[in-house]
Amino acid sequence: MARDTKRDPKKKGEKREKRPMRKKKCKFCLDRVTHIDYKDERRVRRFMTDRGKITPRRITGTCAKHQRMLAAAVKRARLIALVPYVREYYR
Amino acid sequence: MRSYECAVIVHPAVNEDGLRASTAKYVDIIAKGGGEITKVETWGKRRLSYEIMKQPEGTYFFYRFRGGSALVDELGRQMRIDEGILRHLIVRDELAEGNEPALEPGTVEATMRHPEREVREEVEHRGERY
Repeated sequence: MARDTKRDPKKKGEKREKRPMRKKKCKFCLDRVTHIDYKDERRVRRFMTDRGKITPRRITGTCAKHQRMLAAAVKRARLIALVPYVREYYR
Repeated sequence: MRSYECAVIVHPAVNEDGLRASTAKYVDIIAKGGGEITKVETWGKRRLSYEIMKQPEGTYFFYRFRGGSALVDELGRQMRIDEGILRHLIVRDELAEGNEPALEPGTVEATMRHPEREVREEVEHRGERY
């Protein structure tokens, strides 16, 4: 990915090659979501890594407003044990 | 008065009578604290994502009510004391429109709901895509 070209020593000083990335659209905006429910385990989980972290916006393309709503929902869902804080055993 | 939603995880060792007693107890506390209950639902026994007090599962209950801040404090206090409750969460119910009919406290029973279906219905009620 773009990160790798950045670290390539040969390319130092040269202009980095940029791969054009398709602009991601916020999934919540597309669905016209006004509220993210913490009980909606399926939806909340989709925006978490398998380790239980909240996926960053740069990966999912979520807009700032919805990311804030999502983060709040994830934290509530964690509190009532619908989703994990961390996955205990990770292979 | 504001609308709130209270999620409760009850200890898995509590039997059916105990669950009914627990519901009655908290419905009573809400009613006595000047609140109005609009909905009581249960998801039944579910696996927890992580153990709470060494328990791998628990019974989920959701109380939706209107009330003041003193009631929320009191309800939270009672739930913290209650040994039969593993965890509770009281949050403002942003989805409530404030005109849901209040239930008669003496007759309230928790209705069994399927978690996914319930959430889905609510999302679609708002006119969003699930």
